[in-house]
Amino acid sequence: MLACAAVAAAACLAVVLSRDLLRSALGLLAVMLALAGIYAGAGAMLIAAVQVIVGGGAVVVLFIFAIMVLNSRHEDKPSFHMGKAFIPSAVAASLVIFAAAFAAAGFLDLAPARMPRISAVMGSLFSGYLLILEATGLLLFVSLVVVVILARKDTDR
Amino acid sequence: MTLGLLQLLAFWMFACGVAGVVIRRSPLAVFMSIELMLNAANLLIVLGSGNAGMEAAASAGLAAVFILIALGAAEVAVGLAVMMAMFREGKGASLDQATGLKG
Amino acid sequence: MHPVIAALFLPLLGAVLVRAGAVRLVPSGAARLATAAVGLAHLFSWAAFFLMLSYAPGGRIHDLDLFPLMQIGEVGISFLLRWDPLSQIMLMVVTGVAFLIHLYSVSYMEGDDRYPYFFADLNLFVFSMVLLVLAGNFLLLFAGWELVGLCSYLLIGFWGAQPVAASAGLKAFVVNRIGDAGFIIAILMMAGTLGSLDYTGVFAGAPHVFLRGSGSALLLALLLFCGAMGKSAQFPLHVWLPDAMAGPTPVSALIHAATMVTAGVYLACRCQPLFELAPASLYFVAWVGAFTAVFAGTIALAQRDLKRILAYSTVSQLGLMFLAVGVGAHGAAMFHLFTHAFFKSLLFLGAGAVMHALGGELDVWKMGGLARPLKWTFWCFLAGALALAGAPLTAGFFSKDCILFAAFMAQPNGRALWLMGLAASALTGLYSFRAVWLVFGGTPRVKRAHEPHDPPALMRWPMAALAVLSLVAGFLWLPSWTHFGPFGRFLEPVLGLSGHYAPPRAEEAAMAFAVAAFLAGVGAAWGLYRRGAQTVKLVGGRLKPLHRVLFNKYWVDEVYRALVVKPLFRTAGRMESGIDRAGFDEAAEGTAGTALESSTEGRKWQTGHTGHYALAMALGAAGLAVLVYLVQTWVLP
Repeated sequence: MLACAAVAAAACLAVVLSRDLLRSALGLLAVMLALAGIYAGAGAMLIAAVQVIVGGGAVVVLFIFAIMVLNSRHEDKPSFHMGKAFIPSAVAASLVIFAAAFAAAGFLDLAPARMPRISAVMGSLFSGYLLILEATGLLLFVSLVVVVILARKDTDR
Repeated sequence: MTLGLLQLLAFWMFACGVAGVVIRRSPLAVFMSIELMLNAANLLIVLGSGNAGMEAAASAGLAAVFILIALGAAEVAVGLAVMMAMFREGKGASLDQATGLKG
Repeated sequence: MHPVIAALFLPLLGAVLVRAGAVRLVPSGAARLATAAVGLAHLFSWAAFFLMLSYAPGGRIHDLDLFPLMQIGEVGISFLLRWDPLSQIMLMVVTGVAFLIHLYSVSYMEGDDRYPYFFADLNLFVFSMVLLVLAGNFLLLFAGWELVGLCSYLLIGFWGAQPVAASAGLKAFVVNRIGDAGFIIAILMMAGTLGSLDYTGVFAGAPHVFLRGSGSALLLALLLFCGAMGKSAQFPLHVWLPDAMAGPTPVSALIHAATMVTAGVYLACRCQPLFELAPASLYFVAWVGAFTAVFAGTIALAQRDLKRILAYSTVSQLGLMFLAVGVGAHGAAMFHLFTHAFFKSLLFLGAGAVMHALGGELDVWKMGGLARPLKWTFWCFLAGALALAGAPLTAGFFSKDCILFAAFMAQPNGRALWLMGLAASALTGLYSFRAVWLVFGGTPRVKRAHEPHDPPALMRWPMAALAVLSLVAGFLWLPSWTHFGPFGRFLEPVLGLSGHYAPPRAEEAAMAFAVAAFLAGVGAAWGLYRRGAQTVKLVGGRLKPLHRVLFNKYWVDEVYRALVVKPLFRTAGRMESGIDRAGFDEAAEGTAGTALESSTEGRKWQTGHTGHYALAMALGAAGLAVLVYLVQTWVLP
């Protein structure tokens, strides 16, 4: 698990700092897979599987498709017309958030993790949170329609 | 120890995501950073579920993560579709060009 | 319903209807509606008169409580009407004369583009005046008082496009206001100490609070008289009346001869119990009246404008009325008010007819020789002039004689007042017949564009009616040795005994003097002004400085302008630039300017770059996170 964490931390930086969009996407993939590893190590097998399938197999693939279709692999150098203090202040802001959140939350308990069984998770999903589940399905359907409409060429109307 | 470090990791991922959103010029990169933030939140929830006292709360947490992952994917899909539409119009290669709110 | 209530509200209804329908009604429709309203009101006043006669003389004072108006602390005020002989007489005079003048105006104001509004305003005035005389408490009285002031302003400034008329209306209102200030203080004194504003309550309670002969009683009476001085144009608040002649002639006839200006005399008679609590105030009233009578009479001698002569004459006659009030002869004052209403309004209507014939000319030195072409007007005017001057057996003779005799018998300074009254009478004869001869006598002094002619029927008949009244109305109160005085006896329940307690021959002697004064005045006028005024030109040369003084009205207006008006304007100007412009305007504009500048600066933060906005959000979130941490760590535990 620690190895996965280290990989995730490093890949994160790759996502944010790389000027080659493809590298950023691959970094994102690495983050997703590392996270899946962490989930598996913690005992949430189902979630780990879903993370690999959806995160890696859908999200990142979408990104790569987009990069390929739009041919926008290279991002220009960041210009400083927005002010020399811009990037440093952005980084500083994020670090402040990081530190503050960590300091506020404190370390989690050291007791060993005990994940619930898959049957329990699914049980609650299909009984107590059924509405949310169905709503999510509806949401996915709607976004499907939206994407189809948005992605059409104008001449297809 | 492990859990604490993993928590640290989650916060670190979130901070990177924020920085990415602010700094990056390509909308694609901005989306990736948003996805990063979402995953950081998911990690926190999973960690929390593992620590929860009652099984009901824990399973609620995992169920939430289940749905959140799907939601994240849908969001990326719609966002990218919007981006493609913008690109087709000739706008959107760089977020610097979006200055309609100026003044 | 009680006829008095109908008489009160009919003119109001007329005013409202005419004003509401002014655009839609034909002009003649508006005039007819208004005239009908006033005519009906007059008929109702007769009905009320006969109703009152059916009561025994002692039971003729009624309070009609219509509905409660307001309750301020312990002072309860309702819409209370006082119906007694005094208000009844005023009601009949007001509605009657108003009706005749409405008829006259139908013809006189023809062709004016605000024709319907004139009638609406006239009706409103009649309502206000009737409210004033019928009021049963001081609040309603004051309401009517102010309303007539408002109507006077509206009607004087009816031709508001002419600056002279507009400023005359304003002057009338402002000078009235000065008198009203005293009146208001008096009313507040009464309300505060007596806990009631009804006449009954005030007159009953006043002797206990404003003790007879005390300073507070004197103050109260003088403050009330202050209001009367303003409304009735006594010196030194007389300056508005001559300028008010800028308004249409029917307005001058109705308001500034017969009704509004008499409100002060009515007030003095109504508040007789209050004045009697301070005998010194009555002295003051009598002397102010006598002085004004002579003062205004002298000014009238030198005026060129026909209406101004009549205006100063009104001031003078009002002075005589106050003289009567001051010596305790309230009945005589009311009788003179009664007769004066007839002959003065007649004279004004006649002046209007002359103006109508000459195309608006008012300067008597440009008139002359109008007796033959304007026969009807001439005879009516002559009747009025005779009554005004006090020719024997005319109405003016009997009423003036009442006053002069009362002055003669008064103690302690009665004789002095009597002499002043006689002088005023002589002057009256002089200036009124000066006017008659200059206007109607001799040959025309100025070439005329076209032949003048008598006015149309609707103007002639009211004049004729008033002429008849001027000649016969006097017979309602003959000198006491005849024991025939229904007018005086009618007013007794309100004003007290009106008899002249006189040694038998005294009254005839006084009357002889009065006749002598009349003859002196008229004779002097005849001598000076007949045949184109050659004699006066001979004498006038040596009297030139005196003439200048009189013509310039003793420069009272100029004194006011220098002492009051100019300093006020200067102070107002300084306040405007110092406080208004520097203070308030700066504050308002400064605030606006600051807001504008700050928003202009603020706009620069809106760059339009998404990155900047995202950064701002991130910084905000960071700040919030820090805040939460600080609160959790240090504040909450």
